[in-house]
Amino acid sequence: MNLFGVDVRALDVEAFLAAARHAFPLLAVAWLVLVVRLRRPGLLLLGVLFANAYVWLETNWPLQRLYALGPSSDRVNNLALCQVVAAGHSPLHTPQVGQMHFEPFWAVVTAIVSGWSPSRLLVLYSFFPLVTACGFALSLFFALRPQGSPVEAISEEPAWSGWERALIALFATLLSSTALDYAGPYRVPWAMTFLLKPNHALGLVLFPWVLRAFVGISRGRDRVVSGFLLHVLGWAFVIHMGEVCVGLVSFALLATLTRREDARCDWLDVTVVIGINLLVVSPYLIMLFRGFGVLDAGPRLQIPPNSPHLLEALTRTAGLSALAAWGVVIAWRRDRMGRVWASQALGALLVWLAYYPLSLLQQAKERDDTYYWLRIHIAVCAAIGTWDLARRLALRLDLHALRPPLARAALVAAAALPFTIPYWWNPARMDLYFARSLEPLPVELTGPAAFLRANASRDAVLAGDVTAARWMSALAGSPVILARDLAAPHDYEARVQLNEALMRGGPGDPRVAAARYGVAYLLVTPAFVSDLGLSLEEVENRPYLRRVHFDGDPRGEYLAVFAVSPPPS
Amino acid sequence: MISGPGGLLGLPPGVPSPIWDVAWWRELLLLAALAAAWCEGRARRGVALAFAVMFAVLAVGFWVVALARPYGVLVDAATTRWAADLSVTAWSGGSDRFLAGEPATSSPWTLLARHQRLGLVWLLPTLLPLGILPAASLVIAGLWGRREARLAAILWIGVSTGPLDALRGAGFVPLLWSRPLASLGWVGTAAAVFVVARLRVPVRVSAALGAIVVVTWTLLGRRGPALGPADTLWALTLDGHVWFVLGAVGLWRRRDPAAVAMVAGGALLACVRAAGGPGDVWAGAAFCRLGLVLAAAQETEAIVPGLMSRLSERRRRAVARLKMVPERLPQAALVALVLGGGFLAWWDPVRTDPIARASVEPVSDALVESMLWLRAHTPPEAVILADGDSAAAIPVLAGRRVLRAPALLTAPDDERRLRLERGVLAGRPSPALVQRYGLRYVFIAPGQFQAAGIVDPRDLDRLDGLRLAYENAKGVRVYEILPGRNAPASGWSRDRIK
Repeated sequence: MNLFGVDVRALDVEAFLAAARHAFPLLAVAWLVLVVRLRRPGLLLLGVLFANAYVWLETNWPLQRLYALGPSSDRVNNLALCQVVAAGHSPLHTPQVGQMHFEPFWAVVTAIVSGWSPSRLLVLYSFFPLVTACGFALSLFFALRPQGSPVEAISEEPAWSGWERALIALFATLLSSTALDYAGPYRVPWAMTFLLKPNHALGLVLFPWVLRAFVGISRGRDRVVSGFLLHVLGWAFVIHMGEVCVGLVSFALLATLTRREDARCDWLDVTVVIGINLLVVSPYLIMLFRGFGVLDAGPRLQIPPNSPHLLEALTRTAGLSALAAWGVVIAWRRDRMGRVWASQALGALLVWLAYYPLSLLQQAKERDDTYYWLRIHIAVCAAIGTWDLARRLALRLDLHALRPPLARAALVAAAALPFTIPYWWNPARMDLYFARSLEPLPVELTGPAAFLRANASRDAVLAGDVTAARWMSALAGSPVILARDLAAPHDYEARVQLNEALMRGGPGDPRVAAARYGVAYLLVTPAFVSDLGLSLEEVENRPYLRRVHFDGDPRGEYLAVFAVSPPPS
Repeated sequence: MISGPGGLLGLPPGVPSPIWDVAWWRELLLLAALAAAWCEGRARRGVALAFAVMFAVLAVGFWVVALARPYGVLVDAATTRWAADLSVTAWSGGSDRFLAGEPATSSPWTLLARHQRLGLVWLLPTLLPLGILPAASLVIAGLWGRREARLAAILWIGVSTGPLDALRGAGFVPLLWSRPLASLGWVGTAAAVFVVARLRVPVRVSAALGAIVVVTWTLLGRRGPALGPADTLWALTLDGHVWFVLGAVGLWRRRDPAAVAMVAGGALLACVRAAGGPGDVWAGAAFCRLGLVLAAAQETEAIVPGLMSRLSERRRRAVARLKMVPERLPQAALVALVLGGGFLAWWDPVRTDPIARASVEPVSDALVESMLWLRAHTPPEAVILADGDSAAAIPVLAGRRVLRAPALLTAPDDERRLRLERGVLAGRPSPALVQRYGLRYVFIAPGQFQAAGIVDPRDLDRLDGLRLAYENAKGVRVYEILPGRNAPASGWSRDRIK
C-alpha cells in the first residue's frame, strides 16, 4: 500500500515515472494558457504549487513505505526525534532518554499537527515535504509583497508585482535544481531539502518572514520582533539562522561600502536584531557547542576532491547564476527589500567561499545545506534578473505583445518549463533513496512497533540493539537508552554497559541500572546476540527477562521484545 | 594485452582519476571556455573557435584517457562481441567468428585488425569522440559558407548535447563511444548537406535536397536508441529550450537552406524511427539541433546590433578599454555560458553511464595472466570450452574461439553445443562433436559450471579424458582434452602444450 492506501505492488514504476514526465509539459502549457486567459498572478502561483505537488506525488505514489525510511539514516533519526515528542515526551530531549536536543521546533510542530499521536504522525509525515515545498513558495509570494511605504516603481510597473513574486516562487522551488545535479556531490537540492529533510525546509518557509520583518523595521520594537523571529528560525534550523545573520551583516557592510545615507541605521538594525537573537538563543548555542561536537575536525569534513568548489556555485547553474548576478544588481538598486535579498545571496556566496579555509582546517561541515541555501538564493535573484531583462528586451526590441506583465510572466514561465524539476525528474535514476523505499518495511520492524504502540506505557524506555532501538523510536515513539547514529550522550559508556549487562545477566543486578533510566523493554536482534557471543536461548533464560513479542525467523532475521522486570524493592 | 587510451600516452591505469583530478580539470575547461569567450568579445572569432575546439578535446579527452580499457569491452555485450571478433581474426585467423563454426562477415574493422596492432584497433572507437566534435565544428565553420559559420561552430560544441538530451538517452556526445561508425557518418552527412545547400538552385530546392541527404539514413534501417514518440517529441522540441525558440525564430526569418534541411530532415529521421520505421533518433535529433543552432546563430547576429546600439558612450568606452568590441559582448557571454556552463563542462560519464563506470576498472591481473598463457600455449585453431565471464574474455584477451558464450551470442546450433559441453564435463564427450567443433581445452575458474554439478574446478581432475595443463593462484585451471578417440582430426599435437 502507498501513502494513500492504494495497492501499488503491481505498478510498473518506470512506465509510471515516464508517463508523469511526458504529461507534465502538456499540463503546464494548458495551465499557462489558463493563466493568460484569467490574468491572475495568483493563478501562476497556484501552478507553481501544483508543480511542486506533482514532483512530490510522482515520487511518493509508488512507495510502500515512508520515503527514505531505512535507506537514509537521517530520515529514521528525524522521525525518531519527532515521534518521541508526539508520544508526549519533552521536545527538548532526543529519543535517547535524558539527552538534550537542539532544533526542537520541528518536533513540536509535527507533534501538534499529529495531535500527539505517533501512529497518526507516521501517516502524516509523508505529507510534510509537500507542505513545506508549497509553504516555501507561498512564503516567498506573500513575504515579498511591498510594504506600507509608497512603492518604488520601475517605469510604469510597480516593484515586487504579483507576477514577479510568482516567478520568484517558481524559480526558487522549481529551478533551483538542475538535471545534472544527481551526478554531482550534493545531489538534487529539491529532493534533498523538501523530500528528505522537511525540517530544514521549514527554515525556508520561515526565513522570508524574518527578512520581511527586518525590512519593515521603523522603530525599536520592530527590531525586537525581528530578533525574536530570527531566533525562531534558529529553533527550526540553526544553519539557516546563521546564513541569515551573515546575509544581514553583508547588507550593512554593502550599505557602508556603497556609501548609502542609511548605512548607519542599517548597522544599528543588524546589530540589534542579531544581538537579540544571540541573547535569546545563547543557552541553546552553548548546548550545541558543548554537547554536539560542533568544533570536531576530521578528514571527512573537507571539500570533496571531485568537486570544483567555486564552480559548483557559479557554473553548475551557469545560466541561472548569470541571471542572478543581474538580479542582485537590480534588487540592490530597487529598495530596502531588494537590498536585503541581494545581500542574502551575497552572504550565501561568502559562506560558500568560507569553506576553502574551513576545508583546510577539516571543519567544512554541513556543506550540503549551505549549498542548497545558495542555490535557492541564486534562483530567487535569477527570477528578479529575468523579470527585469524580459522587460528591457521587450522595450528594446519593440515587442509590444510582451509589454503587459501578464504576457512576459507567461513567456518567462514557458521558457523556464524545460528546466523545471517536474520536466526532468526521474527518481528511479536520480534519487538514492527512491528505489530502496519501494518495498514495505519488514515485519520484524512493523510488528514490534505495533506491539509497543499498543502495550508500552508512555514512559517505558527501550534498551538493547541500537539499530532496533532507533527504529522503535521512529515507529512507536518510545524513548531509548542508546540509538544508532544519534550523537553520543555524556554517559555513553554507562549505557553501553547497561545494554551488555542486561544481555549477559551481570555484573551485579542489571535491573538496578535499568531502573535508573526507566528501562522497561529490551530489544534483541541476531546481530546484537552474536556481537556479544551469546545465543537467543541464553538471553531468554535471564530471570528478569520475559519475552513478550517476537517477529521474524529465529534462525534468520528477527526482533524479540523482552519485558524487563523491575528490581526488588 | 589490453589497456585504456592512457596506455598510449604511457599513463598507468587510474591516471587521470575521475575522483582526484576531475575538479581541477573542470577548472581548466572553464579557462578554455573563458578564453574562447574573450576572443569572441575581441572579434577574433577564428581564435575563439580554436579555443572552443581545444575545450571540446579537453572535455572529452579527460574521460577518454580515464578509461582503463576500451569503452565497453568485457562490459557491454555488443562491444565485447565486436572486440572478440577482432581478436580471433587478428590472433587466430580463420573465417569463423569468436564462436567456433559461426561464419564471420568481413567489415572495415576486421580488415584493420588483420593489418594493424590490435590494441590500437580496439581503442579506435574509444578515441574517435576526441575527433568527432572538432571535426563537426570545423565542417560547420568551413562548409556552411555564412558569416555566422564560426559562431555556429563554437555554439554547436557547447549545445550539441544538453543535460536533457543526455537524460533522454539521445545525447550526441554520450553515444559517440558506442556508435563510432555512425558518428563518422553523421559528420559526413552534415558536410554533404552543407555542400548541397550551397548549390546554385532556389532555396527551397537546396533545402529539400539537403533534407533528402539527411533522410538517406533511413536506408540503414532501424538504428540507435529506441525512444518512444513522446520522448522523441520532447527531444526534438523542449529539450532544446532556448535553442529551439531562437532557432525557430531564425528559421522563420532567415530560411537558410542548410538549417532548414537539417531541422526538417533530422526531425523526419527521428519521427519515423519513433513511429517504428527505419531511422535513427540519435542522428535525427543531432541534425535537428545543428539546424536550430545554425538558425539561432544567424538570429543572434541579427539581433545584437539593435540591442547594443543603445549602449551609452561611457559604457562603450569602458568596453573598449578591455579591448573588446561592444557589438560582440552578447555573443561572448553566450560562448562563455554554453561552453563554461554547458553539458560538456559538467559531463561525468563515470556517474551517469554504467558502461563507462565499468570501463574505468582495469581488467584483473589474474585474468590477464591466464589469458596470456592461453594465447602463448594453445594453437590458434584451438577451441575452448568456458563458462560465464570467461567465455567472453577468452576470445577477446586470448584470441581463441570458444564453444559457447551465451552472454554474448547464441549460435543456431546451441543445443548441440550444450550437449557437447555437458558431455565433456561428465567425462563422456561425443568424439564426433569434439571433432566437429575442434574443441581442445576446458577453461574453468572457481564458481563456474555449477549448473553441470561442478563445485570446485579440481572436480575435473577426476575425469579421465582431461589433463591439467595450467593453474594459477586464483584457482583458474585449463584442462587439455586428451587426444585419442576424442581428438580432433587435424593440426593438433600435444607438443604444443608446454
